[in-house]
Amino acid sequence: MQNKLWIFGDSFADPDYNTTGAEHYQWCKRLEQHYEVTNMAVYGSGPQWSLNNFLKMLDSADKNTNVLFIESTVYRLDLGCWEKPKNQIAIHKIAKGQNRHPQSEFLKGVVKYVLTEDFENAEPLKILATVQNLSRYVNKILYLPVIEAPFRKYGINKKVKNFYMPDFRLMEKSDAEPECKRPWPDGDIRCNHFSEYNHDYMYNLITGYFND
Amino acid sequence: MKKELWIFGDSFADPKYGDFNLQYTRWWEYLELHYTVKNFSITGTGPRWMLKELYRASYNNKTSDINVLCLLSDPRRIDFDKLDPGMQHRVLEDKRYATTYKAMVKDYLFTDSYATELISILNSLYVLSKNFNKMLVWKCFPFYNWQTLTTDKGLNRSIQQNFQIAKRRKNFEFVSHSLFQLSQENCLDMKPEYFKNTIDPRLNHFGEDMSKKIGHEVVKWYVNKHNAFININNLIHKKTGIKVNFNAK
Repeated sequence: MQNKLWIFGDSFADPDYNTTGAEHYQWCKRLEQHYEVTNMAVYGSGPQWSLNNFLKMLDSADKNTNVLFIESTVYRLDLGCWEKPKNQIAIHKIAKGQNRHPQSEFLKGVVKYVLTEDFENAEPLKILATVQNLSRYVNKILYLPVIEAPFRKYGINKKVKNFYMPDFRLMEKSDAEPECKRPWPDGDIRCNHFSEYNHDYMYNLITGYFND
Repeated sequence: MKKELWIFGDSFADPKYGDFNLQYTRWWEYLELHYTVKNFSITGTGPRWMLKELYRASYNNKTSDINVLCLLSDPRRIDFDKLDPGMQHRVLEDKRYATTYKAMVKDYLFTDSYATELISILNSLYVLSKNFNKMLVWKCFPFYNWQTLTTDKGLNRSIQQNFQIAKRRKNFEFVSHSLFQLSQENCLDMKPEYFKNTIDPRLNHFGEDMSKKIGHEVVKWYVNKHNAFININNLIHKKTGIKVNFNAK
């Protein structure tokens, strides 16, 4: 029987954030050869939404369940006014008036009153701490933040045996590629923001950790 | 030299809360016999603000000798920017922010994801407690107050289980019998004339007798190096059925 692998995250793991011809090397697709994959990652979504999905699924977790949790940027709040999770990414553009939305005044208020520097510093630790403590219900958790946050290192508990957070950050790794042409006028054309060699890296990292 | 003990919370520990004509020792003041207490509590504040203050007090500081007492208050008390922390408990009814905060209730507080707020903060405290000598977390309000906020039917089994399991380890304990319940259950401490008031005049919502009992219980927990635990049975006595309005002005 194959072990289960639950994936939570954003465009770094969304199987539909794809380019033609990338199917054979896309890391999240390749993992399906080894695991019974449930991929909940959605482009543009935030970590609060991912955490909520993880909590909802927790009752069906067992010791054959592995979890890959990609912590996307925390300003992507899961608000009731979004039609789809992927809309979460648009909050700043709407607040600035660059995108239109029927709840633009409310969203301006959220940006002004909630998304403070303190919030963006503290929220990643809350997500990390909760996911880390949920590791008692599953086989292993691999935790990959997209960007760095100052309080996170302060909170990490390295004694948790079945939890691992590597030192690199996904965005840094993506931006370090020579193929990265930021700012992308039409969006990042790379599959899950990585070129083929970094898909190999991700695949090896994930299989190496969960098969160890 | 006494070790430090930091307290973060709301009116249940705010040194300014209560009728100053009442002259008895507040429950947390019993800790001052053993520790140098720094009390950061402010009436009306919520858990997100509390966590922020804990970060600010401890970030980049050596904290391994410091004890911490956190009162986990109502998560609806959001730490909005530029808002007086003491107004957090009144924000949803404050006309100055009516437009913004009316939408907040429906589109922010009433989402499934926001329902994870309290469990996230509890887990954060649990993880952070490794940086301190001892940490006691005490819930301010009963769980049902929180469940009514969720759009879902309530927290699922695993989340509740997580709450339970996260309760205790060597230097950490989470007390789930709320301070509000203890306060309500012990209204016998109050003189009848106090019930005419719209706010609870008792010092941090407890009368003299209960303040002493809770004080001794927390002192026991911090001072004892072995596996002491908060024994709620030592704190419960007759219920009066009398309700107190907790809306602080």
